[in-house]
Amino acid sequence: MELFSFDLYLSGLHFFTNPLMYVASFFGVLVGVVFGALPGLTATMTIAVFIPFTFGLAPTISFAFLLGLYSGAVYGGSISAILINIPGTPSAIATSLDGYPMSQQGRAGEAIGISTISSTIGGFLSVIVLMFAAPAIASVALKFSAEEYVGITLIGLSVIAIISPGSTVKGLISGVFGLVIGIVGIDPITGFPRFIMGRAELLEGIDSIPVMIGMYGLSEMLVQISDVQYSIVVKQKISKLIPPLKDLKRILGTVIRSSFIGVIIGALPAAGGSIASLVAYGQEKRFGKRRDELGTGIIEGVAAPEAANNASTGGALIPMLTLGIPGDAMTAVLMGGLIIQGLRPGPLLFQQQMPFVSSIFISLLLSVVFMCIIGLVGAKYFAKLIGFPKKYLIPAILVFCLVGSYAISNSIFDIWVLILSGIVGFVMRKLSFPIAPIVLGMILGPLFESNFRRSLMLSEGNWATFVQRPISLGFLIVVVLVLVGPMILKRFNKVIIRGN
Amino acid sequence: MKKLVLVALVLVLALPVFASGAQESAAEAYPSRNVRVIIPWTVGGMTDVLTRPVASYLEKHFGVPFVVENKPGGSGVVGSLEIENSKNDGYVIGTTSMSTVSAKYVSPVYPDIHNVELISQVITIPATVTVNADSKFKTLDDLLAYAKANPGKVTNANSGAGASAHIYGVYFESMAGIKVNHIPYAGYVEAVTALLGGHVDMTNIPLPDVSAHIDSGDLRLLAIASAERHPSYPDVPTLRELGIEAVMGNYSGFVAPKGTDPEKVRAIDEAIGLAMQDPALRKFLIDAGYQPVYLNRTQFAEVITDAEKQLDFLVNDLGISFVDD
Amino acid sequence: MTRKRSDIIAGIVLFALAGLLFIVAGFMPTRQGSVQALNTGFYPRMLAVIMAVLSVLLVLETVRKQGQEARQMAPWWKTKSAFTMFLATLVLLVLYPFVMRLFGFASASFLFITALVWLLTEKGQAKPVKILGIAAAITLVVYIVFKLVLAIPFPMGLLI
Repeated sequence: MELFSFDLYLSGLHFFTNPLMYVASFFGVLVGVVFGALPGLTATMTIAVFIPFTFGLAPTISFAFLLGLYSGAVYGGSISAILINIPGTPSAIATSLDGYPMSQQGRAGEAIGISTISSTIGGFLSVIVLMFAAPAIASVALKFSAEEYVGITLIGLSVIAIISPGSTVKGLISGVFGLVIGIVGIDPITGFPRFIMGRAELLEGIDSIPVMIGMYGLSEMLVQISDVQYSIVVKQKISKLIPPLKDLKRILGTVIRSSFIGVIIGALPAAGGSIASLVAYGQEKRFGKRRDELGTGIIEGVAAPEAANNASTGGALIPMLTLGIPGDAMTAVLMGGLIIQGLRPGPLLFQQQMPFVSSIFISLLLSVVFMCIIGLVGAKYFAKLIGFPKKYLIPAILVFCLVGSYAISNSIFDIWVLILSGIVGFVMRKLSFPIAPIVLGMILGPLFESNFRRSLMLSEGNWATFVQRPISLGFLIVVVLVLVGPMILKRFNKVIIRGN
Repeated sequence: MKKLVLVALVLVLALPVFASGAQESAAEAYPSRNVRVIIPWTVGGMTDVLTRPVASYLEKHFGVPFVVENKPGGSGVVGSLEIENSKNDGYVIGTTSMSTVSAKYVSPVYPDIHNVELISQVITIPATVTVNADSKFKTLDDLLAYAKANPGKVTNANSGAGASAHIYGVYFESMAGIKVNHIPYAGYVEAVTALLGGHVDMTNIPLPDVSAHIDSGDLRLLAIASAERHPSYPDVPTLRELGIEAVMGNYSGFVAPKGTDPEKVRAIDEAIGLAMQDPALRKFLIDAGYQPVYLNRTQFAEVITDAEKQLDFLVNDLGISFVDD
Repeated sequence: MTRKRSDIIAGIVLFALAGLLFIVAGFMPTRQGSVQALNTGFYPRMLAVIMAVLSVLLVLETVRKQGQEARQMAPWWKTKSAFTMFLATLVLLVLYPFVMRLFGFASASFLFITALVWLLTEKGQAKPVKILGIAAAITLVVYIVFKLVLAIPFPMGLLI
């Protein structure tokens, strides 16, 4: 693929003067934020159900809307994570780790403000990367084979071990529990059905979304109901909705680092935003200035995953547009939308459809701007939502969880998964096992297992393949550093001190 | 007070139940209300992309809404079972593909194509023999010669154990008399990605998923597994021309629950026949990489019988098992 | 029950589960002559071993902590009202899918919200009109979002 000409950027400039682009993008973001923030509705589903609505529109307008929806929904997922500890999408799981403690301290508005700014910067940087480096990044992503995916999922899994507050052993047990749930379904390599109990719904494994909604949403509501003091509402300070300059300076480094992690990991097909935000949070936990306070409700803990998951939206579009390979579940649906419009994503799109590609850049930029505006203006109202009396809020949230779970694949089976996960989550909370590692383990487990065994198939049983490939080796070193880095660092410091 | 509320609730709920008893009678023109179209795969997937425009054509043709519903899960098993178990009043139709037939070799719970009424086939998708453009295999003979000299060394990316591309791979392998190393990926897209990255040697994945990369020069099409050469790639030989008796590929078509009135099936079949002659629709399908082939219900039945025979041959005569069980 | 004891019990239960997983995975098919890691049961067994080790660690960690964290757990199931509330919610949740299939999702949602709001409202403060009104309003929002906007195909109930 040769380098493209400036036509790529210039041929679509006239779209800037088309008011319909602005209208479509604005409504896309607005609908995306609202739906992403409603517990029980996920970004993937939101896009899937809106694609049929866009058939009649011109491709550029339809994509202005859909990309607005995409950015808006990923951003909106953080709002429910912050306010009620129910991540709207798996990529907002890391956000809830510090976001929810903040809102319990009455700082929900502040957390949403930080999330908005970080998402905006992350989203903006990812568009820039998409515009200028897409083919280059795509060709790097292609170099990743099964071994490299093993490395990247191991990084994700090792981060699970370090992010859990409280007992590390309990965090690890939760993580392994998630991995065990991930076993259910057809064995990716041999095709043998494992633990499916005769249900066709389980062939492809247990869907992580109803489990996530159950573990977070349902079990949280059960905890609140069984708590005598459920009716107490935390008074929200409506201040710092627009983050002060001091805070912005404080998170700038975090946001930029996390954005780059987001773009790169987002660009890897199948990895996506959930690993990106996790790794971003993990690096903050390891290298951030306030790593010891992480998890107690500090702004870095919201900024890192939010910058990363919105940066991953642009990243995930890279392989979709340049190779015709979706980066995550959401872009897979978006790609279907492209094909339905009669456009073929893939290597020829950048050469044959320059005005359209150009309009995609513009749509993304518009969506970032609208996301920022809607987020900052809306923060006040979002924060007020949890001031709603609990006796009305809890039933409403539960109904959204129930109906939303059904709507994921129009199946009552998922409602049962939701209820069971809710009960399991409730028991785990009572025993103070962390929830986040279970859901993340479930998502990463199948990815790890299939690539691990695929590597061994490709290498015909040669275990050394993991260290013989340079990128894979690099990842494994990162894993070791994440797990035992601080210990080594401590030793190292001691030696230096003694030396002095 | 609370009791009062309960009584009121029960009454409110009960009333419409009695009221809804007397409804609907008399023969009416078909279709006179919404028709559900069940797709056992996800939004934006192969079947979804081709079904939606056909459904919207039917909608215009009949003047009633054709509501598309995606029921994904278990590689199409969940949705296909749902079609089987739906009411056969003519207001439910669905889509099918080869995985509905092959499911019984793979899944412990599976649908049966004989439990539904066939309506018509709309497209066919030929399997291919595709390699990376940088591959040392310039022709199919290069590939076969190498594979014969080095049994089990050639890696073939498929779309999962027992999934369609695995079946093509095994069939190709046995017909060509070679031994390859089958590497399962999560789906077509993931397998093609591995081929693009040069991590595997070849794939038998059908044309629509490789054509964009063939056109861009990143992949090379060595042969196509259809009966005749493909109009878009007139220089690429068929496997049959090269002496390998393998015509294989996927198809997609419409079905209705067992026992649906034959007149209703015929009405839909005729409308789909008209849809497939619509120039705009044809252009859309070809642009998306499909090969529109309209076959009526009897011809469609032959295609399915062929697919069943092929699978039977693989499993029973060659003793191949797609999964460990 | 103390946190300490509950952790030890959790550790033992997890160890048993890991053992069960290990045994069940042993029944999964194996391929002759190929790499062991490629077999279906390898990965589940690996997880079972890790889980077993972790559960032992949990017990050890708990025992070693010499009672310093042995404070009383909040006995949520001992307060009668909290426990009834919890059970009632569970029953409502489990009933929901059945009611949904029978009457349709809007009716199920309306009944669910009405019942739960009523339960959560303090005794003597319940105003039926207000409860019904709020339940209807929330149901309407759910109906608009899922049925009208998203056009989700819900099971056809007797009602809506």
